[in-house]
Amino acid sequence: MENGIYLFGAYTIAWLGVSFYLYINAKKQKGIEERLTDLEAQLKDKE
Amino acid sequence: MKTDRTITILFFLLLVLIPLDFFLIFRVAPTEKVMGDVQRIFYLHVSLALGALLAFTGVFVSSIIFLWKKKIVWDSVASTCAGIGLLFSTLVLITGSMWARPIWNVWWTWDPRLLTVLILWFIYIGYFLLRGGIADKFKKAQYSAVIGIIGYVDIPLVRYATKWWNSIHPLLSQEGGGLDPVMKKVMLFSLATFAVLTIFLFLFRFRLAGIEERLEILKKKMED
Repeated sequence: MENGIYLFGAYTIAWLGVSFYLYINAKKQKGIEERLTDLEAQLKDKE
Repeated sequence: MKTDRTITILFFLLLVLIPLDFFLIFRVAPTEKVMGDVQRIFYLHVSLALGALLAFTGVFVSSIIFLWKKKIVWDSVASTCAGIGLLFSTLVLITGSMWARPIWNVWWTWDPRLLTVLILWFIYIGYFLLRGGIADKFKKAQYSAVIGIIGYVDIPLVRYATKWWNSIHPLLSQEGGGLDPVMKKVMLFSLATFAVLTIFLFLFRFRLAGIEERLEILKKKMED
């Protein structure tokens, strides 16, 4: 396939970009949810 | 809970739509006579541009609503949309460049269409730089809403750049490009897939914004 490197390169970069966006946000969400659970437990102890 | 269910439904819908889109692009769509197989970047490039357009329209509308209603939730909607718009416009620039190299023999040229997209990209980079530099939540929301509204002025310039100025960028089919009927159907399917993807990404990121808000409230409670 002529110029296949550009075609597959474009599709790979685009889908990797979208996947990376999802991965970063999923990781962030996991971290925040853990922090929320910790804080909620601390708040219960305080009360 | 309702959002979680919608996200799950959209996720499974995308698991069907994305492979089907790949199948249509690489197996069903005919090969373009002049450009050859590399023209298949078109389906991705235009669909990403549609995703960016939807997201930036979201920024524009929610920024107006924020300035009108003064409710911080609309700022969350706007910044979520801006993030997705920035992601898609970055990918539009990259995929466009990878299409330009074999066809125009250059990675980049100062064509009006390319330039207006680059300006749009810089506007939203500025949007996030500004957000990062202001501590006060309400002020941050107000300034970003103004940028979100002013930045949207560039969208018609992007759309009509090929019409108003001398441009080497391909025209859309309605303007005389003359797409093959099969290519047109594949393109429409690809656009629909990316519209669903944009909504999915928005709901996914917006849910995170809600959780961040909850964390901030809890932190304040702890401090009190």
